[in-house]
Amino acid sequence: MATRKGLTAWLNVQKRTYVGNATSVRDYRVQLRGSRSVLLFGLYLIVLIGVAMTIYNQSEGTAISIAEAQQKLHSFYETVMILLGVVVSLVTPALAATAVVTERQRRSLDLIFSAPVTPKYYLVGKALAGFRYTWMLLVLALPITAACVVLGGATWSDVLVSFTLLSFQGLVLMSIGLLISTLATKAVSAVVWTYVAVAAYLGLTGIASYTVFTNLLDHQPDNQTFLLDLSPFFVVSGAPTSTTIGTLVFPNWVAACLICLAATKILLLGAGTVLDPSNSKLVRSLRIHGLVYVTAIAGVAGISLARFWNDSPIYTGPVAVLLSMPLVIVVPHLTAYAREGARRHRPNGLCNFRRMLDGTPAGALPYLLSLVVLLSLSITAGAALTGAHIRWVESGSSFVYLLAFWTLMWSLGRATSAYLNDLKLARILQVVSFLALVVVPLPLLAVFAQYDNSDTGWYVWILRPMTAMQGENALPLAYAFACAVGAGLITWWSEVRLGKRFETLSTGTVDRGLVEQLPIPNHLNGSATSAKLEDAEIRLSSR
Amino acid sequence: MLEVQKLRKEYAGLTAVEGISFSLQPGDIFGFIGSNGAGKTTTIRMIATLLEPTSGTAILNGSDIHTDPMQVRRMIGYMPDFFGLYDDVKVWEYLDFFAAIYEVPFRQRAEVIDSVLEMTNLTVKRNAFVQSLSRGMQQRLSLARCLVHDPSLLLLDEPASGLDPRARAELKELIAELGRMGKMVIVSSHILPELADFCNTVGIIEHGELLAFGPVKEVVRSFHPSRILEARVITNPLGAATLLSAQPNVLNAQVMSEGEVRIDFTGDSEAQSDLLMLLVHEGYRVIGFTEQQADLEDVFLKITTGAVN
Repeated sequence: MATRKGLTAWLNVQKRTYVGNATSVRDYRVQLRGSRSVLLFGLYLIVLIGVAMTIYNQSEGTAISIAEAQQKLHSFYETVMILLGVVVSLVTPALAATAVVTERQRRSLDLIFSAPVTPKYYLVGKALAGFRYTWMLLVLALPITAACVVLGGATWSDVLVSFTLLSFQGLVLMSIGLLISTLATKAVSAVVWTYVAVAAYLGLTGIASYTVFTNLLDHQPDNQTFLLDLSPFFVVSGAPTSTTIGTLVFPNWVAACLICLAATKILLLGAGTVLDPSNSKLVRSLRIHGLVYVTAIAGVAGISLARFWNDSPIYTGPVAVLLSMPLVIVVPHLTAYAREGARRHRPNGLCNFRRMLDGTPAGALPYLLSLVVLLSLSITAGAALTGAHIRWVESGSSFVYLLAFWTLMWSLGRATSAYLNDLKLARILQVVSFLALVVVPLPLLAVFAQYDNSDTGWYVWILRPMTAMQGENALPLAYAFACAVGAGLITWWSEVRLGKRFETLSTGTVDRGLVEQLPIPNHLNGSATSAKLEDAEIRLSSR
Repeated sequence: MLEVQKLRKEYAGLTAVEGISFSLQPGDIFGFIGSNGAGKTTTIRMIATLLEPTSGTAILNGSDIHTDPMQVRRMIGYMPDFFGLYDDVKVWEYLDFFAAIYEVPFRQRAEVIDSVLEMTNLTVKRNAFVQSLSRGMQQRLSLARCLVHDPSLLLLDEPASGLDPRARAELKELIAELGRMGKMVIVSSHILPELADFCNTVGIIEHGELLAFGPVKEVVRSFHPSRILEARVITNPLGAATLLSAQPNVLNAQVMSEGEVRIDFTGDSEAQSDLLMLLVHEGYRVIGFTEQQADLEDVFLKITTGAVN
């Protein structure tokens, strides 16, 4: 009975979120209000028909063979689909980028979140409204693509798969826009940054797809043909491809749709945590998704690595270091907490594995190290699964170095948080210190190496172990030791400073709830609270 | 019932609200008084679950803002000191949207919208666009929005700011009516005489601390234990002041101007009457003898220093 009730309640919530979402209904109503939308859609159709006519006229010939005519019709179909890819890439981000930020500027977000509305409900509503609009643009283009089918340039299944792929890619672009819209404070900056992020996404998937595409043209086997399906400009080429795992043939467009859904989910989770940072359920979900995705991506990288090197022994360390570098985007969010009251950024200890998923400062190091461990293990496992010969000793020492390197980065986050009140500044300072350690020395060292004619200078570069040669096992370990010592010193300094700053901040009567959040050394056990309370009372009475 | 327990909010380097505690019963209209930056909005936003308290909590009808924020949100109607209205939306669509997000069943929405429009006197504007409404009407629409889900607590942050006297009077009447309907209402305002008119409880906040809380009369009495009397005599006001100073219940009597004597008095009405009789009996030609009424404004000015966070 209880299960049925629970299921009914769950179904009601899903129905409310995905079917009768009030946010989506309102936005859609506004989007379609008046003659503006009719004019826009009319104009869009005219442009689309105009472009299609131009292409068709160019490809029309009088005395050509049937095969040639079909080839031309297929090119026509391909061009139309690329055009639709451009439409999706341009319109969808624009709709999403302004969705949340305009509400924030209008200050209507407070009104919505003072109602029983979850970030999920709100963001799904926004995504549905924007997505429905994009879908209408795709549907309006259906008659033109249908012409290709009727004339013989493509089949209905081609069109269906291509439209499905474009729709799912539109979802990802929509989610990127929504995430940036929740982060931005001004509509203009939201639009600009959304297009920058979308350009980066399209660039990366485009390059990857192009590489695969040229491999396909050269008849070279490529294991990652599904990458073709991730770019809106390669949907026609990607739609018929498939991946063979053992004896199973798996259509790539299905894999691409699943990847798009997963990307959408994590992007919307990120946006949700921005809207409601104190929602521990969301933070937990986001972190679990992060762990799973890192493992999956690293696993695929491991498999590719084995294929790339064929029969030679594989050293997974450099790839792990390289793949872990994008973590610099999330590390400031994980480790810098500052003392901003609007979020749970009060220090609650140095390192606590039980806090790993709740978003508090004590869980930052365990979570970061878990990401690094999963990444390294997954690359190695991926490579090992394909039967590659792994250089275990080198990979192991490199793994130790990787752990120490990211611990050092974590300590920088603690230090910036101890030094600055402002969370944003603390995060910026952490990124700057990362760049100062990793990127800034590169040109100087390159120049030095040219002058010196040797690679001695490179030994001062923090990522030097990434380029370690066979037999240089001690090198990553030495760097790991240096990073660990650095991390220890920085952490010690930050904790001392943090203790002093807390004294200056606690005023008035001793509050047990407040004292619970005092920074405590890790070695303190269960009696810590009373000790802290006494400590705080002494501090206050002495003032 | 609303119970606010040691609610505290710290921002980087400053304490916006310093452990505020109070409780309200159904039907209470609570006037929240304080200068700009005193901590009123922060307190209201914490109760509305929009801001996480650093410590302390608020419990509304058994639901805690920390552990059950969604249930708390179902029971509150929050009206901030800004409109936050959507463009390109009609009045009924605006209310329909909020009724939907407050989980009002679809079949009941039309009826609910009609009733709140009637209550706020906006029925004729049902199909008007929100941006076409006057400021007073927009304020009433905001209040209508707060009422679509029949909340037990209304949080009204500066509801009368920027309204003309008529719109203000209408809003005041509407809030008083909500109190009579058994709803708890928290109203923050700068306009003190207005609050005294329809609030039955007041709280004075400064620098994040609740300096006074209780029924309006009690708060005024507790900060003004003595009454101020003004006597006007034609001749020898100094002699009158000397005579009055010597009387029991008179803390102080001093000549102000133009034959006016200001008396700081602790006695009751009979003693006050005796004082007048004494003056007349002693031959002073009295042309005026009145009591100055202490009000919220006096109390506010007396106990606050104007310090802000």
